[in-house]
Amino acid sequence: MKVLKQMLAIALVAILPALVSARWHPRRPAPPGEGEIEISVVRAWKKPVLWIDARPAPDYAREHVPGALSLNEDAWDAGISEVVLRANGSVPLIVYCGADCNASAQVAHRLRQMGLQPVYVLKGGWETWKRDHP
Amino acid sequence: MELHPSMSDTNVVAQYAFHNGGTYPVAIDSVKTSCGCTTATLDKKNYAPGEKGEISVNFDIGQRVGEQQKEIMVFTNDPREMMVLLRMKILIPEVLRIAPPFVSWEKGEAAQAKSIRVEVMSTNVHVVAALSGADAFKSELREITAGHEYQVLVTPVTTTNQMVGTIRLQTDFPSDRPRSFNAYAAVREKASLLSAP
Amino acid sequence: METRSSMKSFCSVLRWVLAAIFLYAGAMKAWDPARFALDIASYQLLPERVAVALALYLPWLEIVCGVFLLCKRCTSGALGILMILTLLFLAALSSAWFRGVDVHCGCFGFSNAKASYAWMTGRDLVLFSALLFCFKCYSKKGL
Repeated sequence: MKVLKQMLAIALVAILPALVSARWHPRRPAPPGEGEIEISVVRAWKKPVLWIDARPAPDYAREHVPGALSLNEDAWDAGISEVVLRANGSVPLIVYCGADCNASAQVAHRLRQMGLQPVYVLKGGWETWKRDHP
Repeated sequence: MELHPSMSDTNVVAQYAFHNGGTYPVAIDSVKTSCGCTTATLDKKNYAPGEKGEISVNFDIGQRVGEQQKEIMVFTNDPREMMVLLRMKILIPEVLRIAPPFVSWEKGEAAQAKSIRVEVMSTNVHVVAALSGADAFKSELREITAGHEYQVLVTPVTTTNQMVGTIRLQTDFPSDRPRSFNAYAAVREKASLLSAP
Repeated sequence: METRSSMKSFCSVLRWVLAAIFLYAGAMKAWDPARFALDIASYQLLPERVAVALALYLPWLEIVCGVFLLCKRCTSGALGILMILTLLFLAALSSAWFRGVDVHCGCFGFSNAKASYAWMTGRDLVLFSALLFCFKCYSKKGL
């Protein structure tokens, strides 16, 4: 009985730092079910990430995040090889498309299905990155 | 609009009917789609008051699976409604469930076969071949339960170099233009523990 | 008397070692909960929401248990929790092994390392045995 009380007390004590972490940790998990990540969180990591551009090829050709790889469902086979080689589990993959499109969510979903991780979707897409890098 | 293509479909077409409910002519300047897989066509661009029209949107299924959501932006010269957003949801039936869809080895790892399980999600579909697109990988198809479950054994020829390959799973459905589905294999650099934050 | 004294010393050393292990493991996971959430998800056992909640909570549970062990406070409770966590992890590992799921351990925060099932199972059985031994030490009066 004493042991159970101690376990309950310890379990309760651990809740507070967990809540603080959930609210303010720069590397807190993305909201469940979405896999989205804010540009501020990516900036706080201060480590390399692999950007994946899920927009149509002409948009990518015009302008893209420096170093980003183009991967979309129109040309999946053409783009997946390079992504697979560069995604070895130590570099987060961040997929983006336009602010109003959901291609990034679909590309991210397929990458996760392939077992690649961690994979995030940039909240606000390309437009958010542009605003963050004027 | 929600569309349910059949397993043999390679594309679906949606028709969006509209009419000019105003008192002045409206011109549709352009129609933009969210990806190259979706194309929209119009009979004409100018619509008189009361005139009806239709936007035909074609979606190419390609290698896509599952739920797809596409947006079509219609730009007009009507100052009250300069852009109209049309949405279509396409529920592509799953023909094969491939698990895992991607197998990998680290450079220097033993070049042993890894298994991909293929489950057929409907009747009258058989996997007839598993072809490796690159010489770097060998693939062997084994039938576990005819027309239902298969195993594909993928083996790299060597793990000394980085390489990526596609394993094309050929089916016999539909008979006139059988579909194929891809799995992937790769030999990659060893992940570094020290690269964690 | 001498045996009892030796046993008491051994139990203390074991307690410190276990405290250090779980403080380190908890800290590594608390450093990057997003990565830990994905490691939990790689076992394909739990819904994403649960994986995220556990990724935020479990590291701190380990750290708090480690602190209590070091301070010799609520020792039995801390050991009890750690034994339960180790057993649950072993169950998850066995399930993943049986299903042929390719998991990333995530045990010490470095989720890059792909799991060798035999190694992880062996390691955690040893850990559980140490926890159980320590629990028995501190459930006796006088220690």
